Amino acid sequence: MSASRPSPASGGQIVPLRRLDERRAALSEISDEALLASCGVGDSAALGALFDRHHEAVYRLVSRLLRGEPAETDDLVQTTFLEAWKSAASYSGRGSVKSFLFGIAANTARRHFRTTKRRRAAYADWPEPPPSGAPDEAAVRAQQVARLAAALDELPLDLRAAYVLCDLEDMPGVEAARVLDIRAGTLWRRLHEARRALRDAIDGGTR
Amino acid sequence: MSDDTMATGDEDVRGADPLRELGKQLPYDRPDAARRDAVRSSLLVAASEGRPPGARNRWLLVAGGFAAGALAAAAVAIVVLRSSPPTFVPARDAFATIESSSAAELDRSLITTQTGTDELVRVRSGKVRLAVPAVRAGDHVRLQTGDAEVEGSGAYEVVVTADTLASVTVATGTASVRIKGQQQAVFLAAGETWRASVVTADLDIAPAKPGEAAPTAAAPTTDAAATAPTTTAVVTPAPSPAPAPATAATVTARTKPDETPTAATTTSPRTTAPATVAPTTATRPTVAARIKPDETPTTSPRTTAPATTTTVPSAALPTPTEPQPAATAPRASITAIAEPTAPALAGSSPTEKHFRAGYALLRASKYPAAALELGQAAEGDGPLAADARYFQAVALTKAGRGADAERALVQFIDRSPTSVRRGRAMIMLARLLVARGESTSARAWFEEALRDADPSVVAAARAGIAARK
Repeated sequence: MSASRPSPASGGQIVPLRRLDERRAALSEISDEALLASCGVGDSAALGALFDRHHEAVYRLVSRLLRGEPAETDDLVQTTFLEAWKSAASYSGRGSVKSFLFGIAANTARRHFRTTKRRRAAYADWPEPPPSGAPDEAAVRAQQVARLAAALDELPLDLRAAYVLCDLEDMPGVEAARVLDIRAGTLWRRLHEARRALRDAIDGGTR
Repeated sequence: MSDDTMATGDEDVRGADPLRELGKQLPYDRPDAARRDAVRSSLLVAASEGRPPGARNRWLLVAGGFAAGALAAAAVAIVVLRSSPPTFVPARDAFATIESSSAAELDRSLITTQTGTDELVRVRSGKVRLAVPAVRAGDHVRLQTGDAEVEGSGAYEVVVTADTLASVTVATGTASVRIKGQQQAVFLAAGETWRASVVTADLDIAPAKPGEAAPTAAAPTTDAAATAPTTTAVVTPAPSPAPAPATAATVTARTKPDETPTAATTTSPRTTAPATVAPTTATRPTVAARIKPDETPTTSPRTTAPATTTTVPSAALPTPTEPQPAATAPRASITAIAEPTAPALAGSSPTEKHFRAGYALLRASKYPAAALELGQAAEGDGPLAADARYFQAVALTKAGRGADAERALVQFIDRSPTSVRRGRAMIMLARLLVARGESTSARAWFEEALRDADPSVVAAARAGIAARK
């Protein structure tokens, strides 16, 4: 039983939670914060709603941080939401729920990265860039994307996380620093290093 | 944007940048509907079980580590005791090392006495393990429940259900168990187990008579019933006479530790989660959702066996829409569950054994003992444990322990979001709250029960709400 729910023996009020899944029509009216609060007191329907809302963003973040197999990504995403479920009561309201989830996802990815100690042939299954010298602008673009992908995979995880959160997820720097549990100055430095490395990789390929 | 200006604020990292635009074209893993649904379902299953996918394995590792640590400590203690005079741990903040199950309710306090320090570990429910070192004369480490006190040295484990001591198992060292009202303590050595004697605990309960109303689960029926704070609304008719309580196999006061429920080895809930769990049935992701309200509790799908799934006739549970006069209703037929055959028991898990015994005791109106047995069955996982929690609440209600029943009901509702008995539990809880004068809370639970799929539950909820107007 959740600590936030008063014990019956203490004489406190006991009130039920709404079963949100039966009111799917009203789900859009419920804030992320309310859903997370419901998770904190054991409402699994709220967890389902939270998953529906944010699973795509979490998938995107996890798969960009760690280019794993689909099953591996599935596990990490599930672990992220499960951790959110377990630690929902500790959500302080600082930052958005999405940032809260991103923070958990980044930590989960970091732990996974450190424990597995292996790097995959990242982006190996990405489309091969077209032969160089092709005049087509789209082909050149695709080539740059492939180079960027390869360079991103070569980045240390800390730099990659800074770039992915700030540049690809458009997360404000202060919030990204909070998500990564680092100081803002550290984030800026990492972001700067990441961008420089990526630009060098792209420019080097085009020279 | 220039990197040199990054430190000036957030807007500096959000400006237009070819690198960012290029980065956003990076492909990423977009799960298809099947993958998404599988993850969602397994997530909800894992959440409803209250533990992450690998927790079961981790718990085994923790248990193994604890056992290995206890053995190592015992070995060291033997060596030390044989080679040197006894040395005692000086007084300090706390003596005992405590491990507890996640659902355990306990607190620890230190009391300075004239002779030393008393460390009191007050346990209200759950499974708790204590490792108590040798303490100097005058110091004590006592574990207390509502009805008993355990004092020991070494490592021992207690199971407490609804503030009542259910069992004590000594791994190393010794322990003494004192039950309130009993003169003599039971002393246990390493490897021995004490279990609450359900027969003794039930001596003050009048024996059931053949024509007496059989205890049933909460079954909302009439308006009058909805206003009553008890759960005796429905009696299920059955032809056979009252059964003898099947407790002989479970009431041995002092036995060797029996087998621990073996956890099913699963790597991830996704591998065991039913594929039929659709996202739209988020609150009922387990197999239990497919059990009709009036069906009997069954075992987990992983452990289902013909011998166990058919032990309780479905008629043994109440049919809410068909109330029967209590005075004329003979006791329901519960022979199969009250007197399971030896082979059937031998093949059952401890959870199943406790459930059967508890359910039989419940049917035999032995409510305190039933609460004990069902409480032990509720320690497990799966649909059967969920059912055990529900019927434990029923037993506590019938035993007049309203506060404990409320706590058990809230736990059941919280921990069993997929159970089909959830609505009935809400009705029971609401009625208990009415009896306690908590009309506002009671009304909220009645309103919550309105969403239940069972029409009889909805009818009872409406009646309860109407009675509050």
